[in-house]
Amino acid sequence: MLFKNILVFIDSSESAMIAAMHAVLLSKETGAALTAVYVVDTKSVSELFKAHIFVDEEKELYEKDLEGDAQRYLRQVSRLASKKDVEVNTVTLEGSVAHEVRDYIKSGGFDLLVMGGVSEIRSRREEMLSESDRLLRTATCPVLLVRDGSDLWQSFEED
Amino acid sequence: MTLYEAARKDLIIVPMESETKDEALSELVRALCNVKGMKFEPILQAIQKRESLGSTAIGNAVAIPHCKTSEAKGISVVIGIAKHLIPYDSNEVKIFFLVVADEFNASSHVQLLSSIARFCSSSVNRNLLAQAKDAQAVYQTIEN
Repeated sequence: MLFKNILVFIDSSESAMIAAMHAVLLSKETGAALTAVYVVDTKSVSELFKAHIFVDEEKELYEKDLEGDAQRYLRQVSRLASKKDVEVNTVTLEGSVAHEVRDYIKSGGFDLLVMGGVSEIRSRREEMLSESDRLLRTATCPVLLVRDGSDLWQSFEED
Repeated sequence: MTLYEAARKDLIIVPMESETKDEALSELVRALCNVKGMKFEPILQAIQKRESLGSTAIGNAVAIPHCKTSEAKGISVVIGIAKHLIPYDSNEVKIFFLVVADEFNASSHVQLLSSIARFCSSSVNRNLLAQAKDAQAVYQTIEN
């Protein structure tokens, strides 16, 4: 078996859901274990608080909203997996997105990372890179990058 | 969502006409509402309500007024460069980033605010914005 332990990275983007579909189908095809991970970006919230962009009240509110986002998107992944009779382990982490996923890949022994949502590279400014871009560049295992615009939504429902 | 992904040339005001904080907030919100077809009063009220909790001026002549409201459509950023420093609570501001988001996708909202904060942490970026003569110059600064 080429891959035995697949991790799919989920964020609040449509392309992450397309990546999840690919991961579910790949898991079904290969029999590999599947885990979906969502990182609540508490690091950014803390930085916004330290920079005086967020006040106390907002910090708490946004952390709660981000947690809600995580649960919502991971439930959606579970539904997708259930449609294909695939078991998926859903995990929520907190902290710096790329850093947390990188550590989780190591500790979980994953041999493939599936992800979508990488922005088109139009700016070379390092500070403009998204967390997905950082993760793509720094992941310690092979990465399957799922492009947008596929007809997977339809075929996933039909099969 | 990064600043580059969110920025639109038709939502960049150079130079702003405003002379006070209240005028500046109104000018930014009006530009947003004109382009995106949102209601002016509820958006302005949401921005003012957030300002009442604490100033969004972050130093170095930058302010990031922001709000989350059901009156918004998606996530938008309006960039404004004032003619000169405008008194803004206990600070003075020349560079404005107005961020208005709907009540969904808190993640994208946080990412955008973080991207703006990182961008503005560079004195080179701030100077280029402060000296920009038109919207194209602002956009190029963000792009490059």
